[in-house]
Amino acid sequence: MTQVTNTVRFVLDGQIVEAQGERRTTTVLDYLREQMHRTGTKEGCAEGDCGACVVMVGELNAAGTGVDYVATNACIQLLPSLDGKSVKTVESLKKPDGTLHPVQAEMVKCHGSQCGFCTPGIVMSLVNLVQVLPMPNRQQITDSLSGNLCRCTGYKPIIDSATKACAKPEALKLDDSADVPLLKEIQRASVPTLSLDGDIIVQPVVRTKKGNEFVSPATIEEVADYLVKHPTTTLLAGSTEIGLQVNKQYARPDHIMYLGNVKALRQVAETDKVWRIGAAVSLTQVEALVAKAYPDFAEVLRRFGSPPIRSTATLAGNIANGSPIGDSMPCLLALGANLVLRRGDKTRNVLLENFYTGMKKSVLEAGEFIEAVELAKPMAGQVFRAHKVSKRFEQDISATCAAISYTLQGGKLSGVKLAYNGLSPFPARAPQLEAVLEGQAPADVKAADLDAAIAASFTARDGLRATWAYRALVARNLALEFIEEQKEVA
Amino acid sequence: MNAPTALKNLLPASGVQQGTDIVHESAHLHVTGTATYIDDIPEHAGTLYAALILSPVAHGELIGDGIDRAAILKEHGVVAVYTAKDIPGENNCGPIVHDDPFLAAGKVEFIGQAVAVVVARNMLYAREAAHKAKVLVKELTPILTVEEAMAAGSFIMPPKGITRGDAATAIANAPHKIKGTTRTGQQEQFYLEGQITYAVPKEDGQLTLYVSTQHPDGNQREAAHALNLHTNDVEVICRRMGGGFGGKEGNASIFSQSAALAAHKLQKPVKLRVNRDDDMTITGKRHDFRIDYEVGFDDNGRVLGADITLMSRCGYSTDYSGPVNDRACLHIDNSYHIPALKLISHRCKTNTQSATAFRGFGGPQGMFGIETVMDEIAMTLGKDPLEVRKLNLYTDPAISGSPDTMTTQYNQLIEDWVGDKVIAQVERESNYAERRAQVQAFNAKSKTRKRGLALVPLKFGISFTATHLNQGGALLVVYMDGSVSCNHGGTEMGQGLNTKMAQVCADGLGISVDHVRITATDSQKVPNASATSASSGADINGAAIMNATTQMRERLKPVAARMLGCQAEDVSFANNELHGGGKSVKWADVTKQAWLDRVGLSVTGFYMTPEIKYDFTTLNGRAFYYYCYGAAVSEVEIDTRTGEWWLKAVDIVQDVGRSINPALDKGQIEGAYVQGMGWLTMEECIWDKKGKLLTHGPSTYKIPVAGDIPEHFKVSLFDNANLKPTPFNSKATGEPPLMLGLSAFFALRDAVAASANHKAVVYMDAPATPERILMACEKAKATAGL
Repeated sequence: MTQVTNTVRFVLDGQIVEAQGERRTTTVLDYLREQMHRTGTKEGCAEGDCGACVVMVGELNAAGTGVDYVATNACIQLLPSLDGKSVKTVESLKKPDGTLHPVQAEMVKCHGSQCGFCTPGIVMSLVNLVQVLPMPNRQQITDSLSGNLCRCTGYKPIIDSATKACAKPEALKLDDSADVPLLKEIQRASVPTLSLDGDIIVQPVVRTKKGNEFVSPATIEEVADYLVKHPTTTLLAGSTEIGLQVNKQYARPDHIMYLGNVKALRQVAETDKVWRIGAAVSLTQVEALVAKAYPDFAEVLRRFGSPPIRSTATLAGNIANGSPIGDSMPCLLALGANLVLRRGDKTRNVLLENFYTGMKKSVLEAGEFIEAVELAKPMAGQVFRAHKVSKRFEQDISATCAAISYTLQGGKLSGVKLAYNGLSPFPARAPQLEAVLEGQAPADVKAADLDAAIAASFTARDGLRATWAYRALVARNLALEFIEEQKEVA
Repeated sequence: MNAPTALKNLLPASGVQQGTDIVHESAHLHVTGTATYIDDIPEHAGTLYAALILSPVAHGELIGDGIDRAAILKEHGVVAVYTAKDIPGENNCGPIVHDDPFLAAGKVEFIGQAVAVVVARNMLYAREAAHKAKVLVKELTPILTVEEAMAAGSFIMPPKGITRGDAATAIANAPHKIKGTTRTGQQEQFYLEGQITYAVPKEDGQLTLYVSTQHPDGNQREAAHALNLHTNDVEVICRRMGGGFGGKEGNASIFSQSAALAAHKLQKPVKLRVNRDDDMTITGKRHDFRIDYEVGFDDNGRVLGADITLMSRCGYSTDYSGPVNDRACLHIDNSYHIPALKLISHRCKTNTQSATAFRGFGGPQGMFGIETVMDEIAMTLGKDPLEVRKLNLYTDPAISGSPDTMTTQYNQLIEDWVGDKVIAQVERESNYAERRAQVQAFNAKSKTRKRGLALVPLKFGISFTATHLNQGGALLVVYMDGSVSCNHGGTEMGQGLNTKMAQVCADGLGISVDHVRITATDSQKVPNASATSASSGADINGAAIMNATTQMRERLKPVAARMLGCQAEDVSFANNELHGGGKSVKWADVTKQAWLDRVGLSVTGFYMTPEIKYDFTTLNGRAFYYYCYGAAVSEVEIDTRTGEWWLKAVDIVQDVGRSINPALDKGQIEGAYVQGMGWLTMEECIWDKKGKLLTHGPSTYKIPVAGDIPEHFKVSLFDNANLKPTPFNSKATGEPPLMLGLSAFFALRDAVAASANHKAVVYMDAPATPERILMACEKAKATAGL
């Protein structure tokens, strides 16, 4: 068995690293810098928002022939979640003969670095981009950099260098042939360990003397079993929330269960009418899934966070965290999403609109978890619109995000579902606004009626990101915009 | 030898380095992650780690020394904890006035003020202990805003002012008047590398401090004073910073002194690296300003008189607030001749972080004030703001008949005025007139989206306003193999100073840049160096290097003359060779021969800026050696339903003199524009009612990202030699282009005005967040009756 207690094993540039005796909350960044002395990767913020720490995390591809990468923020990823994976840092790029990766070479030539502190992260974000997109357009380049702050250059030479690097497509791919056999060697078990009696034994990756653990199961059965036994367990997927708690509040959860190795939770099942999105499916995957059916939802997800955030954060994680300004929820509420909740071997269905009971509170019972999110595919005539308003377009927190779904029946709005975040203690539908819209011809909807419904629906409260006056005005204007543009089409 | 006061004897040997786009000397290290920042230096065995315990209240009296020492010492891994009481010498990190304790003594005056430094066996233990520690304090009522400070008469220094002519009468007699208030926001420097010091004790009580700082000399002196050492006992080294922007000019001392104290007490290496949240909570930001104005003008929009009151939030201590506010006063004219002016500048003391240096240093705030006035005059008269701006420009005395039209409010005659030419060039290059028509056509058709366009000029004075700081030093060392090591008092924070200095040095010796290594800034190599700030780096250090290379040439000429068989005065330096008598000899052969001939191969260079003479108490005189000029055209689009906006296009023309390195200068200009744009739009500091900064990380404080940059982002350098003999007749580029970002803000105002069909004057404070844009649209529409 490969699951050796208290040892995190990962591949780094053709070598297996065995990290022993580390805390369950040690971050990948701290380990790389302090133990591996790979100081090229920098800490800029320790909250996944500046990108100075971007590294590429690899997993054996499905065929077992190569490595699939995601750019991640090493500062918020916990080291034990690397178990069974590989890492590429900025130091991995230069070839033994001294040749720089084209992205590096062009960054030099185009004057893409000034103080240089953000540069390793920017290089890694771009190198990661060109692994899958060898000819990115300008928008794809800037999107890949949406989580990389540079305070010196004004970005222009960085964008230029990315474009120019792609003139050498043959040199863009990383050579990771040496990593593949090693990834196979350290691959985590795909079936649970069973006791003599047939009971599931979840092997910890890290276990402390006090009995605190970091576990990384492979099956839903293990997840369910472990959660029943340890109902206070913190579930970890993208680490975009837990990483912050660890870094900023010095949180030390007793039990941490990483869901990234649970194959069944990383899959999307599909019927004619519904996508069943597993709890560990990343936002990037969801973005691709809904791109055609619900382009506004895909755009909200694109603006949800940077690629390192989107490629690790999950839809179920966003829902479970239940932040009042969670961006996926208004879209999911307008689309009538259903949650499959599981405790032990029992599952139940709860509509997302019935899930929250208060600020960061939900109907989830002790030991229960979200197994999947069910999202309906669009029906004929269904209009779905969504828009997020924030100070900055990319990687920012919403002032409000609104989403609507409806059809037009004889020129009248029908089956209206309208939801917002940022207006109430949890993202929610706005029934009084829906009532103003339902059955009306779009042209007959009056702004004043929406204003009255907003005033009646929500408690006016100024927030960190916007005053109430602004939020209320935007909430009304977005509702009008959502139906107005349809009016022009209809 | 004292400094040369003119550089005519310091002309470059060959000039071949002039205007070459060589890449940043560390670029190959940046992209491979091998450039060493302070936190990357391999640590000495036994290194300990420090964290700061911060005040949780904005104003309070500490009980005892503010902490429960015994409780903190019991925390896991903790080795020691120190407070103000443990400082053997002076407890100060104030760069000018010594009113700024680096560890709070008796009282705390803002949320985030360091009360104690905890030292532990690893970083996490230190931070956990600091996080857990209770500060023992009796809370007092804080003063948090400019208004509260004005009402309470709470100031860090007395007000200053400038009076020119009789503004009151001019305004009273003017055909038109405007009166209003506007505000600019604070701005966090957001250097990507946070504040850090690694303090290493050396034998016999000495200390070496590796500090991420723009001012090694300041850190050195202050640490020496704090520890009752001599300055020569403390060495400060800084190879590079991961950004500074003014935030590591004075503020680095807060951290370097605590680290030095702990290292000195424990005689162990101590690293103090604060996390981003603490960094943003502790350190000062750009001063936010309230600007009250009353202006009289004629039918054409010509300003006749202005009464302007500046009120800035300086925080709890003096820091650089004196010169910052002075510079705001000295830039209230921007590029405009204000014939009658009454200007008052109040420097408010508040229970917030001590506002500090930030690129532009008060200049941007002053210029924001007068540009608001220009914009409002144009809106009042229904004119294109560019027309009003041009009308008010400084005017050649040959045309106006009076030197007054080329004289600033502080009585400096402008000798190098090219402002009108720079505007003309950017107007031409951006097709301003055509673009204005396109914007109008778009706005006529579009109901919910509106576009705006603005051209804003800039004139920025170059010199430290504290005259004595205008000095530079260098150490030039030549080895017998011909390689050259050059050190100067400036620091590298990304601006490419060391690259330019290598060019200046190489040029001065007639050798290629690859012969020259600029070494880490080290207070033991060049003493008493001024901070790298005020855009002065290349001017003063470059001139000092030129002085050094001139001396070195004089030493090498006789050596080469003997080798070449010619007269020493006939020897010239170019192309890695020394030439004379029709023959050439290799540079490296000369340096080897010089060693054999026992010629000293190291010299020091020095420079002081000539001519400046300025009285900072009255804000009067020749404050600046020269001016930089620039102008930018920005085009934006807003959504009048949400206030969201998009930067569509930027055209810039910037005067950098004869550029030493155009590529680096363009990099400075682009980066500065974006930083200025960020200041005026998306970057917003938000505080709660108790004085706690709520935006203390990049998740809540948003600086521009790549997606905010328009595809059309064109920068041209204005072809203009500096009239003053700076290195290669170049001009400073660090700060001036930041103010080009004003054009983005005024383009937004233009778009907001368009939402009300230009029928109302727009009132909008900075930063122009989507919220302020939407609310300004609503207000303008209501005023216009739409």
